[in-house]
Amino acid sequence: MRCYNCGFDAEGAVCPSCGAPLATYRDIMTLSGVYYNDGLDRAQSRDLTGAIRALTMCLKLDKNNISARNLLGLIFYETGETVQAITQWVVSRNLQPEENPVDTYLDELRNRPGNLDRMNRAIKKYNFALRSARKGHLDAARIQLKKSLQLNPKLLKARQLLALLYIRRKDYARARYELAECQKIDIASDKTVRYLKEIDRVVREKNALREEEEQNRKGGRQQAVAYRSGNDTIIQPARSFGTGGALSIISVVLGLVLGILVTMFLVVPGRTRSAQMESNERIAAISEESDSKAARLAEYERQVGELEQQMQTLSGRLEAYEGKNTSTGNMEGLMRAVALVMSGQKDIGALASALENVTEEDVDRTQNPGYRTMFDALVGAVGKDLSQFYTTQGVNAVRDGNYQEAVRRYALAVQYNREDEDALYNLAEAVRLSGDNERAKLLYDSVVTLFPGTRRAQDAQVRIVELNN
Amino acid sequence: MINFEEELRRYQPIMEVEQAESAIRNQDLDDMADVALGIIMEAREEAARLGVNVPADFMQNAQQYAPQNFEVPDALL
Repeated sequence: MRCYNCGFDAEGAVCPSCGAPLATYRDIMTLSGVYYNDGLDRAQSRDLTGAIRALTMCLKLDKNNISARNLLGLIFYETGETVQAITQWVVSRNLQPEENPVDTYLDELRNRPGNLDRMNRAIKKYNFALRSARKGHLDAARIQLKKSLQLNPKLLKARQLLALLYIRRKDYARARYELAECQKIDIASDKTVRYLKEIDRVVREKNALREEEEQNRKGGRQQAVAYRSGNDTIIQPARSFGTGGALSIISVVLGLVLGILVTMFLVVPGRTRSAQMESNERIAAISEESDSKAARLAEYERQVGELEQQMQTLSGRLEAYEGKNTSTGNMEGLMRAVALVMSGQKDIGALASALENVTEEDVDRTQNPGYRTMFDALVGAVGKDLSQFYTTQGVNAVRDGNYQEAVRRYALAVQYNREDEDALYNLAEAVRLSGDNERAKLLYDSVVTLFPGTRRAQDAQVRIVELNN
Repeated sequence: MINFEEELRRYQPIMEVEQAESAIRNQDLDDMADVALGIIMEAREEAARLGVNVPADFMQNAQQYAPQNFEVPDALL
């Protein structure tokens, strides 16, 4: 036996390693084993209540009895008390992480989350039914308990509570059926046995009352008077009412009064109760529906969030593809221009028309080095001519007062000849005239930096001073 | 004869899965050995205070049996 203090494998009455007394501890361990065996026997004969008591005592004596703890978890699981079962199994696994059969149970739970969810919903419905019953809403409670048992037919407490509600309604046949189902799960539950005894007692009393009434009825017949009239035998009650006008009137009045009383005390309360039952059932149904709608709404909101996120991602990708397609489309113009140059034509207007929508940014965006090479070759061959052509167009646009167009044209002129300070200066002028002074200053600054000592650089510096003032 | 109201009071709510973590953490796991060790540790402290002579190595490892914190697997809860 392992010493409880130091874990040494000790045999005698005292641990040779740490000196802890072991005689009493050994007795405790033996007693724990006795309780485990008793619990196992009871569990095998379906006395689950007794088994729970025995195994709980066993674990109080020795918390490390893994078999007892696992069995206790199984019994809780069998009676529908899932959380109690999980608790015992998790503790068991923590106490013995290696070679513990409880892993099978926990894996089973983890691999079938729908099952666990179903049992949890059954528990929630039972709890709701218990609250309803305590508030006096017995019909609503009954409905919830039936739903709970549909989800988990082995939820013992729910079935016992349902039987209690049937007993309350004097529906002994249904109560007896539910209790029989309870006994299939746990044969010796105190509640089940007590309720069955109560039903037996009530039924016995009813039978006794019925027999008594039967006897009274027979006794009443004997009190009748029989006499012969000629060949006929006439049986007449010993005490019969005489006939008379006053007696008839009294009988009619008495009948009316009784009729009114029956209406007041039997019919009206019955109707009221029936209406109340209906409203309770409706409330329960609405509550159920509301719960389910709220859950569905939350699920839909989550899905909408996910879809919006997906949509944003896809939109981003689509924009990227569109940009790429546009660039690729513009590259057709580049190829047409190259074809024109290769054919030996020197029609700058046709070239400019082909290159109308081609910019360096488009070429780079295709991420295709072949286009870049083609573009550079084109610029080398006819760049200066193209630049001159666009400069002329820019001058015309300035003359017409169309500064935005002038900016576009001068920008193309710069694109095809970056060594031309006039083109860059003209671009800066057009930008200034279009009203974008900040960008114009940057362009003037580029003229000063890229072409120092030139006349255009001096002009640009004057412009910068003017704009700064 | 069954008193319905009284009988109803005997029913307790069943723990739901959301309460499992706290149920595991609040488990009272003390067994007889823990109770005995607790008393022995208390006796050692009292002996030190009163000056009673107790061998220094007597059950020196008792403190290793302090209550344990259990890990709750996230995937389960």
